[in-house]
Amino acid sequence: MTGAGPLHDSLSDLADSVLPMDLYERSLRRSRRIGRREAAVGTGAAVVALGLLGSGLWQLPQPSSDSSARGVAAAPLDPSPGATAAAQGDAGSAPVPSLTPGRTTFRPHRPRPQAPASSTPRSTSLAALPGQVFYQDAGTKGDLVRLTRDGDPRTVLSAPSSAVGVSPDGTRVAYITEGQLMVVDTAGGEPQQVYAGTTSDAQVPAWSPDGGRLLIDATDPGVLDVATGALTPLPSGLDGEHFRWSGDGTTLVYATPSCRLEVADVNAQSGTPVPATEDTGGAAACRPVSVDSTGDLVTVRTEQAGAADTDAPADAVLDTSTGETVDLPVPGPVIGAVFDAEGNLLVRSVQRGRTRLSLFDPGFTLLVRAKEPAALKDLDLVAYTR
Amino acid sequence: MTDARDAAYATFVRERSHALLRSAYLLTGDQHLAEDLVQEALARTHRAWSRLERPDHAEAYARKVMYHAQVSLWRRPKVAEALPGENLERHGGSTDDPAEATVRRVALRRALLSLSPKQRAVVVLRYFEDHTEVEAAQMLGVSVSTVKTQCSRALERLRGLVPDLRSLADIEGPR
Repeated sequence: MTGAGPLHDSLSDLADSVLPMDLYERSLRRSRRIGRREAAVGTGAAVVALGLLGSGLWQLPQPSSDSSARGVAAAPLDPSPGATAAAQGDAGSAPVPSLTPGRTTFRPHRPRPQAPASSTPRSTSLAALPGQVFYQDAGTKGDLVRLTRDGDPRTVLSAPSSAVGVSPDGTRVAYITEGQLMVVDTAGGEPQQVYAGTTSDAQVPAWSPDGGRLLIDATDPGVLDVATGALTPLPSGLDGEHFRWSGDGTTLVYATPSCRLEVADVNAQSGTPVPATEDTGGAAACRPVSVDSTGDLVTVRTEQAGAADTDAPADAVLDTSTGETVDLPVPGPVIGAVFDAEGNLLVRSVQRGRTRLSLFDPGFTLLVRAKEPAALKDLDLVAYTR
Repeated sequence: MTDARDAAYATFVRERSHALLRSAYLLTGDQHLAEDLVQEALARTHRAWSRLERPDHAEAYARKVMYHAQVSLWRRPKVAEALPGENLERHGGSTDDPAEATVRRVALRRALLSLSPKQRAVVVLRYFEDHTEVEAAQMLGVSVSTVKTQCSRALERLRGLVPDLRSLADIEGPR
């Protein structure tokens, strides 16, 4: 035991700051929600088992993954208007159906990056960067800064004091202040309150690919129609936080309360765990930052990075089917990585004190590798948009 | 649950929530995040209530859930950090000078938030809840050497950030 001492007394004094709170009803509601989720997962597993029994596949001695998968895969969901050319452009890859209850659409596997030696960029000029890059001050104010092809960073939102969600077209920003969900144009203007009663800022407002909806944490996580203010709760089986949309709007990636990544179709009642591998220290990579166009890949913050600031940007790309990290052909360690809604990947890396931005298209062709302006050195990469 | 178990759970929550909140506040630095953390721990305890024979088992279970959740889950502290001094004058401190006590609390709170979640958990377990290194390791599901390492780094950082704690070098170094 350490016993009483100056640190003990100081900690005890600080702990006196917390206000008493009756958590009985809240804990019961949360318990019931956990129970519903467990029931949903159990039911889903039973349905899959019954499906396998009914199909007779259990009799097959060594069914190939393809044949078994085709036997139980459900019909694909309608893609949103935001569906991208990434999947269509990958004509050479075969569809990979999923067996799991939370993920039932047919998904083509994206290509993976080429070896570093072959990664010659098409351009080394920042002026060739087609989209907008957003950074946030890691300090308490959280100023949001935008970098465009002119190479001149500009502050577009001062002191939101919370993490922000940047719309896929880069024109709007959503953030939470004192429980209020605010939206403001990046071109300027007064922030507008679009929802009151956001319960947790652990869920950064996540824009749908069409820019019309925001996934937030209200009483429960739900999808807010920005135009009407209508909130549709997520199915209770989707129990987690840090929800992120895929660029085609069909898939959600999120972290469970036990720090696992899960993937789910937007209409599913439960999610599919992303396998935990040694690449990410088991369950460590439990904060998805951005998702590619189809939900095949996700950028995450891994624990190996070990920063005290748990709000740090993504430092790895994970394959949601295998849980393995994707080797990125960039110079030096990765200090930021974000997908845009089209599946382009912007990677920020540092080597010998130089910070570079590398932009890959959905086929992992290196489009741009350019030196980042020094003025952005102390900011965090948060988004890349059209 | 039966009525008796419901009543026992209600009693447990109402008697022990504040103690859990105190630890959770040190882990999160924020009233609302602390409530979220304790709510999650209590909910998990409620799910396991039929397997927990005694109230002290329930509290140990809840604390274990709480520490695991805090270390493994991302909990964002920025809003709290943006409100320096918030809540700090509601209760008296150990010093006669309220202003000085407030400054000390703000400094310690910020220093705690600068630690990694695991380092913060180790500090709270060792120096607030007075657990041994072995007990802290069991609580967090890590090795004793990890606890020692994390504790050493955390104390070094706290000493650097909080002038009042520099004297801890001799009194409360890693043990």
